[in-house]
Amino acid sequence: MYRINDEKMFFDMEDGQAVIINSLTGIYYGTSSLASAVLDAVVNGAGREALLKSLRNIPGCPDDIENSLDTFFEDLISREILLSDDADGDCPAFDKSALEDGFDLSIEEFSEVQDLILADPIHEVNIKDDWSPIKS
Amino acid sequence: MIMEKKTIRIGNPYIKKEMDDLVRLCADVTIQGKTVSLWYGVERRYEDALTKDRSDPFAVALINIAMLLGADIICDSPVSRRLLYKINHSFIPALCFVSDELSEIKVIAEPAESCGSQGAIGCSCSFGLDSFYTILKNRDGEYPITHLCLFNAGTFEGENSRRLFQRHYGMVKDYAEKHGLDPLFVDTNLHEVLEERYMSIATIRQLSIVLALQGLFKAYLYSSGRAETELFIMDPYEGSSYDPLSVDCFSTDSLRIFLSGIPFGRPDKLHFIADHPEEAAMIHPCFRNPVWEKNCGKCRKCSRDMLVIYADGMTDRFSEAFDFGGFEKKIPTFLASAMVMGDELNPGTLKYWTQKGLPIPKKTYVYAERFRAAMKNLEENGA
Repeated sequence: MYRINDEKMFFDMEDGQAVIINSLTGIYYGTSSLASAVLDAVVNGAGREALLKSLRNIPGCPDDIENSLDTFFEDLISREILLSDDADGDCPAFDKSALEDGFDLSIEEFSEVQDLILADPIHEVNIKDDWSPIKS
Repeated sequence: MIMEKKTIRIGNPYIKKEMDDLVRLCADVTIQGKTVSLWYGVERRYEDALTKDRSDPFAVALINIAMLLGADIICDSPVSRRLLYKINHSFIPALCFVSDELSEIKVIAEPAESCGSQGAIGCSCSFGLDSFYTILKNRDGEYPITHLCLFNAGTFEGENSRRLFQRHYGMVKDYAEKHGLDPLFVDTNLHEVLEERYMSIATIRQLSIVLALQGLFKAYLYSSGRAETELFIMDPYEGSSYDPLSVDCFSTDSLRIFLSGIPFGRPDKLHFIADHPEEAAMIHPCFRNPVWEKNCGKCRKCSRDMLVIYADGMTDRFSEAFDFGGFEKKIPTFLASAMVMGDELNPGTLKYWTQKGLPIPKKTYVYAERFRAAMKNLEENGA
């Protein structure tokens, strides 16, 4: 299955909310309540099939949950949050608090820390040749 | 061998009529043998207000480049007497004192006596917190505002910057007319020709535009983004750090520029705006989304204001401007980024939070360490 990309990503669970911080770029992520629970299970070694089983056991689980889960994982891989792994462990039943945001499996990106550094780099004027500015 | 001193020459200003009912105040500027045209564009109804008989706006716009190059500014047209004196005897020496990169140059021009104006009083209307504060505080009083202004000198970025600017102006126009005020836009090419770090010269640019309209304004209220009640500590890379110096030096005998909104910080201004439902619904500090879209709720400007609004129990009053759904989950990371970034955009946010008796979650400190590591990495290695 997958594991957190520990080399780049700091993962934390606090009151049912997953927080992932890219320690190199400062970009951080928040996820929906169910996505947080799924990520917590992944961090604890749950495999894909066990995850799907636990999700399908939730009353009202939509039929396309497998698609949603795979799309969610693809998103996390593209952001280098997850890497492939052999993990195939069990997944506990999801608590009803995990459904605070419904069955939404989504991730939200926050780049304010990175924005600060990158938004307005120092310019220096090239006074040697002409006065056209160059970026430092 | 005597090295010839570098110079920047500003030609006589002239008016150029454009299509679409626009006119431009132009001057040809020669810097080290290269000539470009700088211009300020307004609607034709403001043509008589343009400062045609003196080089004031252009001299101010070029000050930073001139100091970086070590080039005197020579003006073919006069410069207002007070402005000329204050630039040469206060502004330039002060900036050179705090920066080794800047050279003490001179603006050389004949001094001009004051010119008349139509007696208007203006301020910006960006829909930001500072400008709304200025507008609401000066509906009447000693300098009641007559004109709401929007300037294009570097705040609108990208290929579509002019379209963004015009659309934003459409909203300014609606708001102004609703409140019986005159809307005014000034488009420029300063940011296209002079590629300076905007945060270093934002005030210089904005006030050079005001100086281009001395035939209109007798006073201009410049919204301060800073709240220090102590002396401003001059940072040559942060123009707002010496706004009091700038507004004094760039005023003339007939145009007084005042700094509005000090010594109040963002928390105080948010509290004030909360009592004005129309403006509370429209307020738009967002760094990312344009004013016709809701605040993103993620950027550093949104996060700071949302923390203060939440701390003050005012979320319902700002619910049209910000989406507070799930906000509690974001508090540790928002506080962490405020901690790491030194609260520089909103002095006092963290202090305000704790003064309200709200705890800083333990995780905030953990996240802050991660952000510090990332910032260090970004500074060392770039993007």
